[in-house]
Amino acid sequence: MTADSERVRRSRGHRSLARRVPVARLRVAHGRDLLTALVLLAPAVLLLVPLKWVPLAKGFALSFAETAGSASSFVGWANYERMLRDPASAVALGNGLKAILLLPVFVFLPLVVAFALFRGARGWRALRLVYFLPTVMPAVMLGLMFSMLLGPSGPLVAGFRAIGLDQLAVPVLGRTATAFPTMMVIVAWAWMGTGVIIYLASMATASRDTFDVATIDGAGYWTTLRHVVIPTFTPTIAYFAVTTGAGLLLWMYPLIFSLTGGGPGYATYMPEWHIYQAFTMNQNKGYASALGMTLFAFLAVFMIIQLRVLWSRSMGDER
Amino acid sequence: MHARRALQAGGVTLATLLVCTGGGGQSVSPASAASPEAPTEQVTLDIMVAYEPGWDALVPAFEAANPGIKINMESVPYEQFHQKWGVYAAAGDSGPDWVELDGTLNIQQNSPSLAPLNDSFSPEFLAGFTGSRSGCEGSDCTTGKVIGVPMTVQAYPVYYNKAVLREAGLPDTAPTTWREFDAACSAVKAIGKSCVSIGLKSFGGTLAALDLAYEVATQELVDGLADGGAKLTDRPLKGIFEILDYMFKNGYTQPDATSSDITAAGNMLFAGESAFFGGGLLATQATGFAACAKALGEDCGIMTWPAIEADFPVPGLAPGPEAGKSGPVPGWFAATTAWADQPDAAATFTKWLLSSEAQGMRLVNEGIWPSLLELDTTAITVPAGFENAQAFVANAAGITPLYDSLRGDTFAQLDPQIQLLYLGEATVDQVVDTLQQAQDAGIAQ
Repeated sequence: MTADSERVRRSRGHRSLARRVPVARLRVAHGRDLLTALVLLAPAVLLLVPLKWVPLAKGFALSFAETAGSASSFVGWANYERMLRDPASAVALGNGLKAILLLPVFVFLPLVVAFALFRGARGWRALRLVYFLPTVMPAVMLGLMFSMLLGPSGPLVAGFRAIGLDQLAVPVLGRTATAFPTMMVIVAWAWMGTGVIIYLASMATASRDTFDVATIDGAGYWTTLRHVVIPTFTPTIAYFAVTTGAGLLLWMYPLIFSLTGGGPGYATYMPEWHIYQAFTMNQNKGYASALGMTLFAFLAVFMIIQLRVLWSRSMGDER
Repeated sequence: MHARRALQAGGVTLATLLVCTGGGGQSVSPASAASPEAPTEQVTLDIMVAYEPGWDALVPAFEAANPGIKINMESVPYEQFHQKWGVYAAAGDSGPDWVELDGTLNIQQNSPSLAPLNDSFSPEFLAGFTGSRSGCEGSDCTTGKVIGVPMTVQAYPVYYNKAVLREAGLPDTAPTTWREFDAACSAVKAIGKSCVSIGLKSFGGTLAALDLAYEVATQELVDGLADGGAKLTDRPLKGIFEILDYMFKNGYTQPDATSSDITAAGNMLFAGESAFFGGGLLATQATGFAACAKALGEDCGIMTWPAIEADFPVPGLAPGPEAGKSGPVPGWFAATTAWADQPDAAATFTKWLLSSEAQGMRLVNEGIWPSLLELDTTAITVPAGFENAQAFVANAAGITPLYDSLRGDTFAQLDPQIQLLYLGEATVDQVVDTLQQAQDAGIAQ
């Protein structure tokens, strides 16, 4: 990219400057920029096509097929129709939606904690370590740990019994009403550390003046958080919201596997778990692909909406 | 400037592609290059097994007996085995040459991923498996496609703790009728213990249901379920879930059984917290016959589910001809994958695993019950509890197991549906409706 063209793009006086630069020169510069961009993009595209786009297209085709081993036959919309009748699919997609609706909690809770740490809460260095620790624990280990802690002979149930609160001595992962909310609490706890670290890193690079002005104006913790921190760090919040949203729908398998096995009943089924069950346990590639395509579409729509809302807000704030 | 930048970008592209594709090739040293005259040497057989310590001894013993074959073993924890194998089977073109799969249904479902073994074994050998329908497509292993050779025996017994029964003022023998069982449960609950511990979190309910099927099933019903002639929504097959429902509603099982896996349920029995342990396995490291004998010694008992009686525990439900029996079934199957590079070596390995030497090693080292073939145990030290298990296996039902007839997702739906039944969130009618829908969809495929 030439210095001229960069100025043209960045300058608010784009049109007036463009009038001063000869059109032919701009075209040549643009052509060279395009060539460089294409060459730089080529490695990514060449890797994306065979590793992402071709499997995606293959999965899409497979979602209209019935398979037996390596043989397959076209069955039209049958796999998608089956999805509508499958009780496990309804629960899995419903749980996926519930998880997405909880996204504000997953995103803003770490922000609240990170800002408290940033302002120098007592013992913040130790707290930072405490919050980050679950992030470096494998999901399988987290699942096993919590299934023991919250199980019928675990310390939580035993503790409640010991102090006479028998009504609370419930193995929450074994009940359909409490299993999913409990799993979400575990996820929030496990991912909080990542959010805290990301937000802290952002805050550390921001100008100190940003916060000092609010302090001089007498703004308290919550006022500063609402009127200074959130608007200032909207791009970081957007980034964390997108990755967390994807994580809730795409990276839950190891936790479900070790925590609940999808049960009780279908209570902790998530789309990813259901796809894997269909693909491996039931050997139904066509149906698994239909589930996968539905999840892909759901995720794509969700991401587009999320990014548009957050980025437009961010740009609006900048203006 | 632009040309240089484009050149640099091109270089980055090329370098990235070379790294990612392993471009440039591998250098072939003269020593490793195969020459046409080189004699055929050792072949490598890739196998995949669910981890049991016994394999660490089996593999070297096989290699010593067959110097032309080297084993490359992929050993996967049992909990992850089906998922791992599922990925290979679903991909359908790569993975191990030889695999040990458990369960008849598992074999049937994996049929497209497995190579026919008919040419690898003599008709006389295959005739020995006829009737079990186990490793074959169709009922006759001499004519049908043979896809697996049974290596071990598995069953789903009810274990009991004699000490707990005595503590409850009961004789320490196994109840044989459902009324005796009911009375025993009342007595056990009266001393503040659970009657039956069961691991509903993972397969415990499924295994119990499959074994309770012998209470009501006939061969005609089992066959009918496979082709749509019999339904889970109708009695007597519906009775399987009515019996379970009776147990759940009458407090036979431990509280919060949906939070317990099979191992936790077995440990309850071993710790004296329950009198019976249902929905477990005959041969498994953690809770099998050897583990029970090790934990409880002479107080470990092995029994079948007691025979139901006319109108009890379920009004209007009559016992079938096999009530009170169990169905020892082939446990692990040896199979050659459809994409195997070394099918001959795989067949050699399978045959060796059926030898007395290998079968004895598995019994001693793994506590795994030997296959359907005769095994001379005079030269080996059998594990504790072997005689108990032997007596249990001898009381085999004369019909094929119900899970032979399950189609589509029915097997996978059993666990969650039984969990919902236990929690009172689904009725028996809802459970059997859901299961039959899955079965119908499977038959239609």
